[in-house]
Amino acid sequence: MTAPATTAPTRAPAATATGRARPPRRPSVGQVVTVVVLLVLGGLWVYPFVWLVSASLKTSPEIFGSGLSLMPETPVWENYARAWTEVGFGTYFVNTLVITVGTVLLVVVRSALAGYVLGRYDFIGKKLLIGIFLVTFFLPEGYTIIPITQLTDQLRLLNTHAGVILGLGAGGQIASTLLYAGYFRRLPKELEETARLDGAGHFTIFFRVMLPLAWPITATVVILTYLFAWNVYLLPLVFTLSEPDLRTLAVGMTVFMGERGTDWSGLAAGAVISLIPVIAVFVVLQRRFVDSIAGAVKQ
Amino acid sequence: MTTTHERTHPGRGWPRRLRKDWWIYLFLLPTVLGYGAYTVYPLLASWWFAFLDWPGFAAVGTFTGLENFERLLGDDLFWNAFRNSLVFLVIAVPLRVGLALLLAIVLNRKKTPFKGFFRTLFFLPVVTTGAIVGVVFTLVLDASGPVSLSLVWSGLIDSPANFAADAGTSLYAGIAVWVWKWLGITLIYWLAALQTIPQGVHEAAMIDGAGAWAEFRHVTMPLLVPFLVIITLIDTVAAFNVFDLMQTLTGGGPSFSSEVIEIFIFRTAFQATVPQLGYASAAAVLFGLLTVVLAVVQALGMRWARGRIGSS
Amino acid sequence: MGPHDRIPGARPGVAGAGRRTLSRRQLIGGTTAGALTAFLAACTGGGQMSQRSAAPGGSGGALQWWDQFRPLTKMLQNDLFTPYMQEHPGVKIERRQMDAPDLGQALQVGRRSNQMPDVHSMAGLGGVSPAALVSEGWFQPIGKLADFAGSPVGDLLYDGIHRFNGDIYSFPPFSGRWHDAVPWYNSAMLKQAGIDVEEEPGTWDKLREYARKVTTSMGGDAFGIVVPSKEPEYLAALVHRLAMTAGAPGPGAIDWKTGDYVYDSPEYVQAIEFLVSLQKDKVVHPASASMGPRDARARWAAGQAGIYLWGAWFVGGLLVDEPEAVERGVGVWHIPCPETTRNFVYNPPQPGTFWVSSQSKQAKTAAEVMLRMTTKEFQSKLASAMDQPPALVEVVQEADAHAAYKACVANFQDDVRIGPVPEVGNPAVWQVLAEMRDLHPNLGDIVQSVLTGSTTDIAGELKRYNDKVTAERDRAVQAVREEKGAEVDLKAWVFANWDPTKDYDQQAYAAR
Repeated sequence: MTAPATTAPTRAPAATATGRARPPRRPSVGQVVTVVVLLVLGGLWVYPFVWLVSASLKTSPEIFGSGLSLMPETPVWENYARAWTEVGFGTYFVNTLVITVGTVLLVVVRSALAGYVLGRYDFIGKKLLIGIFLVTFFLPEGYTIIPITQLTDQLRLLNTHAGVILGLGAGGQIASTLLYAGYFRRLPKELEETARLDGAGHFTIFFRVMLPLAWPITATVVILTYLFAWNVYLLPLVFTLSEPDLRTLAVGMTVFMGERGTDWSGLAAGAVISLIPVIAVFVVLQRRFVDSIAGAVKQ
Repeated sequence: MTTTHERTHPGRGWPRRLRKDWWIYLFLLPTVLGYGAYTVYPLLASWWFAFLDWPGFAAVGTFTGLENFERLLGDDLFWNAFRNSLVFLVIAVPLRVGLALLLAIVLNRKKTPFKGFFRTLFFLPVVTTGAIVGVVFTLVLDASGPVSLSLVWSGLIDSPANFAADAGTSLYAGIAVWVWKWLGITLIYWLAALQTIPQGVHEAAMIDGAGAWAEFRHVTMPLLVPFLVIITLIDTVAAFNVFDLMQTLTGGGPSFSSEVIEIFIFRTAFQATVPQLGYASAAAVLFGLLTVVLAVVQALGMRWARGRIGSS
Repeated sequence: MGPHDRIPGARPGVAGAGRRTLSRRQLIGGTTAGALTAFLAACTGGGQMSQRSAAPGGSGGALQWWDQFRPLTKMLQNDLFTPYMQEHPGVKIERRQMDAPDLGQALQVGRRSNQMPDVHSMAGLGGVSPAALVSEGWFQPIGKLADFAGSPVGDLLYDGIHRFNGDIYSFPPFSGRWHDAVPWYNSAMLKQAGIDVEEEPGTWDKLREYARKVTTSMGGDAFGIVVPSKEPEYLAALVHRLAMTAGAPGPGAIDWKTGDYVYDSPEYVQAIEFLVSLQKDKVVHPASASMGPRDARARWAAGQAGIYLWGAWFVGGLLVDEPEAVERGVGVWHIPCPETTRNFVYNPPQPGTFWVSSQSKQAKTAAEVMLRMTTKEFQSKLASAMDQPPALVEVVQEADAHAAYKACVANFQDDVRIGPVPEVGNPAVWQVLAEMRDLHPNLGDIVQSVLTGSTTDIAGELKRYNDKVTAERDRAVQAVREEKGAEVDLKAWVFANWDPTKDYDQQAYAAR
């Protein structure tokens, strides 16, 4: 993945964001058509969410019975109370947070360290390492869940947050490592030489000089890993099966389906609860999100 | 390719280099350990399973060589799942990549209003858990759900339809929902790609009086080809990971009509009366091999196409 | 009965959780996960999980009791454990209720790390035969620790199901006389449609007519019947039951005179065609194809369908999740037959639910507690939970239960007979069943294809399946004979003295 020459390596992805929207001069016919088409498409995209919110405020029979109507007869706020307390979405929320933060930290530290030496230094075994990365890159997720569980069990980490975090963050994530490697490779070598003259060791150079410089990549990795860890389903499901208190939101949602298959309104309320944080984070950090993912592609 | 800052001394021998570079290996240690334990080892282990006859509740399997693979080649349902996965791939990936490109072009234009709003809108499903999407669409797409009701109401279909539970449409319902869910992220890839095209190029084309299409065809598109390769590749890999969505939406049914390979594997390994672990693993391995072959073919095809565009 | 079409709920050890086994397709967090973890546990060697799950039961201390019966939680505590602990001050019983899949995993891991509970059910173990686990040394006999043979359920104990090599290992707390195609109806809606609910439909045609009446009178707001078709297991069970009402032998689609499978018999074709005719009449809820059994119950409760065929647990479940639907009015009929002549529905003897681990050091206490479940008092409490009918069905009529539940259990006495089970006749049969691989498309898959319009060749599909399952059984028999030296052949499936109108009881096995 070579970046086109126009992308200056040291330029933060932020700088290449979408052009700022300027006040339109006078809407042309084409523009109106564009907006209409976009609105229709956008409607298609947003409808299921509107439906979900509406379902979360209805009674279960009403969900089936009211046809196209999205307005609940009287909003049933108890659905939310039920999802939060009885089913334990509150606990699930905290678990998801712990696991997400842990995974993000692990991935950032691990990939930055490896990316740094891979990007800037030559050493014995480097080609072999990169070769292994590439060969295993295309392995689809899910088929290896059995040995991973076996390993976690032998480490005595099944049904612990640490087990889930290791399972999510310790392997894979090659993209993050390569992102760091690509970025570090392009930093001028004078940076290290200056630091070394000041008497800094390898670790000081890395943590004090290099890692802070790589913040755009760190932002990208944090956001991509956050998206991944927040949504991941199979591994936390398997790792927390006999310890319901450790379930994540995604797992809790499906367990809810299993245990109370007919409580559709409670399910919808739970879904809304689990969506709010992600959507809030997205709306607030929208620019950052887009730039980060864009940055990843450009690399 | 790699800029080497540390001076290396090729003649001095390995032990010396290893000693000098100890800290490099220390930096690599977390990745090597983690990757070895959580990626490489499980991969090898799952390959080993593929050669075992391993019924569910036995503690260990017995080695049977290639028997699992032989049985797979004669298993209609394996090929059915393989076909479904391919159909999924061939329809869903171009749809996702193409639709996202069109949207990106529109959203990249300075004139388009509310760009941020629409971007957010299309990105919403990306951050939504697959299982929730599956459940919501099960209800939205069934015969008494809003889609069927509005189609009947508008006279487009005569009788209510269960899109996700009809053998003729279930796979396509899965494709549609998948594209719906993931379009947003591809859109952002494309927006990023479009932004790498220097503004000067557009302006030059404008001065030449080139129309929007001509500009796109001759100026923008050639610059986008490398991105097309990358984005298609990313989306293709993603199209093999549709388990949670398909399992919650259709469960592979009805009557295997939407059973993609991941569901086949899951069903064989975990849902059978007597689970066949070795057989399921063999299916995963065989499918993984076919995936790699496809990826290579695709990469070669792309290279070829690129060469042609470059030379024309 | 072959492993491919085990009637849901009739699996050993999952008896009380019939609806769970029915809804496996949909429940990604439920049974799929359970099967997955059962597998995982099979390859892992014990660990943290089981240590955190519970204190090891084998080391003295509290008696550990694991099961999956959520609706029975209160009752087990108040009516069984608490009284026993009061009478025996030294004894402490700790019960852990888990979902079937979780239970299955916890058991497998516990087994490998010597941390089994003293008493547990077999839910979540994927329908494995108790004989298989007994032969692997999972359990210890309880017959000598407490008098089960002389208990009220003594007559219900069978070799190969509860008794192995002469020792009693378990007992059935529930009755074997049940089926899962009971026509439950919304009495308010049917009355509104001008149907006299007191007049039972009796025949398939009459049921069809009722469904038509309801559909017409509701003018599109509700439909006559709901037939959830998302999960092949439900459809397979339904067609098995309907085919039996048309005269097919059972359980398990086997002609006991010859031992041959009869999936391709006219009765099975007829049963599927009956479902198709309902669909053609447009009296089936149009969203049926995307519903599982519990979804269908929710739709029925929401007033969208008049009639729904499901098990005895229907009312009990409604009372937990949709009590307003019970107040509105729910009634029950006998299962209808194609003609006015009544045929029987066949079920295997009810298997044991609770088993005592071979690692338990409190087996005596465990056996005594279990024996209490066979008393009239306890059985009567079981009836008021309105789950599976209790083993002593006579307590139901006096129990504090809904009238429809009582009627349903009474109808079972008329409609259901206990059929032969090859494992009882020849214990080696379980090895064959364990060897047989799942074949697809099976009965449930075929019915689903037909109802969702992807095939119309009912007879042809059934014939192909019948041939495949016959060949697979032949292969499995040969494999276990050659590889394991098991003494079993196809004669194990022949019960020439079977009388379709009678229970196949202990004497019948002896006289075979």
